Amino acid sequence: MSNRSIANTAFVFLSRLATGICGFILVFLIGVIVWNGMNSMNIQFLLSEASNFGASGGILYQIVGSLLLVVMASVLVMPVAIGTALFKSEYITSPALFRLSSILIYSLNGIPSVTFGIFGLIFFVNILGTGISWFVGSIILAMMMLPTIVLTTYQSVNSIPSSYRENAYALGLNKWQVIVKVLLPQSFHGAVTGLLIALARAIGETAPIMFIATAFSGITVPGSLFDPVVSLPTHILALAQQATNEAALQNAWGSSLVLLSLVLVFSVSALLSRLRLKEISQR
Amino acid sequence: MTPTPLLKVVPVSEPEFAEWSVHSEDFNVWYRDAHILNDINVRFPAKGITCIVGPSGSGKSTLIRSINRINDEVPGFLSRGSISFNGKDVYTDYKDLTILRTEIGMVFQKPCVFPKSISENVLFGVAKTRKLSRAERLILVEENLRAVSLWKEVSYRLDDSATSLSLGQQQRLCIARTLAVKPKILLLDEPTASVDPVSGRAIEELLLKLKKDYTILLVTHDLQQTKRIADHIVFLCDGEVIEQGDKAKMVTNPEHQKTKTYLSDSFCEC
Repeated sequence: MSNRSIANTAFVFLSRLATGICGFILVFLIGVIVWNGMNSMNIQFLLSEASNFGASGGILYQIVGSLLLVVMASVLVMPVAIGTALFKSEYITSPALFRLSSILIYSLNGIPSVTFGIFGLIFFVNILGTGISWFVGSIILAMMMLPTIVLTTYQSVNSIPSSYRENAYALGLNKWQVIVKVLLPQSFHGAVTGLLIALARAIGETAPIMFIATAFSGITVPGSLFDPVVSLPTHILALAQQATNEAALQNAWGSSLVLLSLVLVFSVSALLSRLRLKEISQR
Repeated sequence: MTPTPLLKVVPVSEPEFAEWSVHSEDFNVWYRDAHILNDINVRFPAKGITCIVGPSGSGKSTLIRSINRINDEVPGFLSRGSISFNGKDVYTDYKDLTILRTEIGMVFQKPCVFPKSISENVLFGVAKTRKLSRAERLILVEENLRAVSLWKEVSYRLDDSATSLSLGQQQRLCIARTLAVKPKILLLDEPTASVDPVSGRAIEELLLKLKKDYTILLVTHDLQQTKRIADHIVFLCDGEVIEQGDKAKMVTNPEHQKTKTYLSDSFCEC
């Protein structure tokens, strides 16, 4: 065999191996969680309140709390993210400012999640005196989601050919009308995809919300913006710390499975909405 | 580059062009460091078709793109001198570009319909400022689609996506969309270059029909087309106007050797 075909075979083998390792890790993790989590999975578990510090009962309010946190975070982050992406794409003309904006967005993405949690604790809970509040948790999650959504939205705005802008300007539209009538409809799919990807990450975050938004037990639905909630990731954390209690561990597996399912729902929706909305925007 | 003042200005008193709708005086354009147009003095008569011809890179597109100031959006664009439209300088007298671009419509080389329905595309520039009643919408859509001879082909599927049309139909839809805004001048940047020959002929027929009501400035590479439909020809080479005048004079008896060579052989040594 010639050197070239040896190199070729080796390369094919290595890339298959890499894909295999990647797939194995994913299947292994999901398999363990599904295998262990299935045992506690039933309607009762999904629809009842936790009792006995989570060792018995269900996780209804944890699911409600987690959804509440990410839904509010989405509402807060979308206008800011779309605005930032449009500003970056349509208004920044100076190359220096453009580079700076990219650096800022990537840096925001690189900040460890626990740092967001500490920032929230110091700024909102201590300095502004909000107390433990799910709304503050949503604000912090929104900050974490921001860079992902800005980048995907920016990419889809930026990929719209400039001929669309020129044609719209040539018909006498002003910049704002071009943005609203041409750019937004054609880049909406990017924003939604970014949102769902960011949501899939945000719903599993523990560190940013554990100091500022969640309590461990005895909480149902918050009565105001400044009440704490219970959430799935912090619930799993608390249950996993009761390592000697068999029932608590079992419920931790069950909660993990529910959390994983929610992440899966967001990820699959991201994929589907990307295909579907892109098709609509290009019809 | 040295200007050729003797040849490029057609006297204003020339009888057949009593009414000038657009003219430029010592108009220059740079894109960053590249000097694209050099002291352009050109006069476009009102009504009729003026073809702007010249080899690639001669600045034809830059010239018409400067008239409705669509070049302002291009990074590094810089201009000096003036372009007047009905007595007003487009660079200093129009604070609101949307008004200028409503008065001076433009159709580009590549048809670019918006991913919306056919009727929404026709109304795209009209519906920008006010809400139209249903009757107004129907009238505008029919009137403008008829104007570009597209009505028969699409009247039964006005709500279909405009992207489902053929390229030639899309280009006519782009013209309809521009007419709907009721411009006084039409700028066309090689409108037939990216459509099939049959659609190209249909667009030429359309322009001949429109020239009674509009001042049409047409950039084209196609000399046969120029000879078929032009009333007036402006010959640009290397960023300078070599010669301009009515078609008969330009084709049969040009003053300049370069014009003669270009209009007969599509070749120019600038």
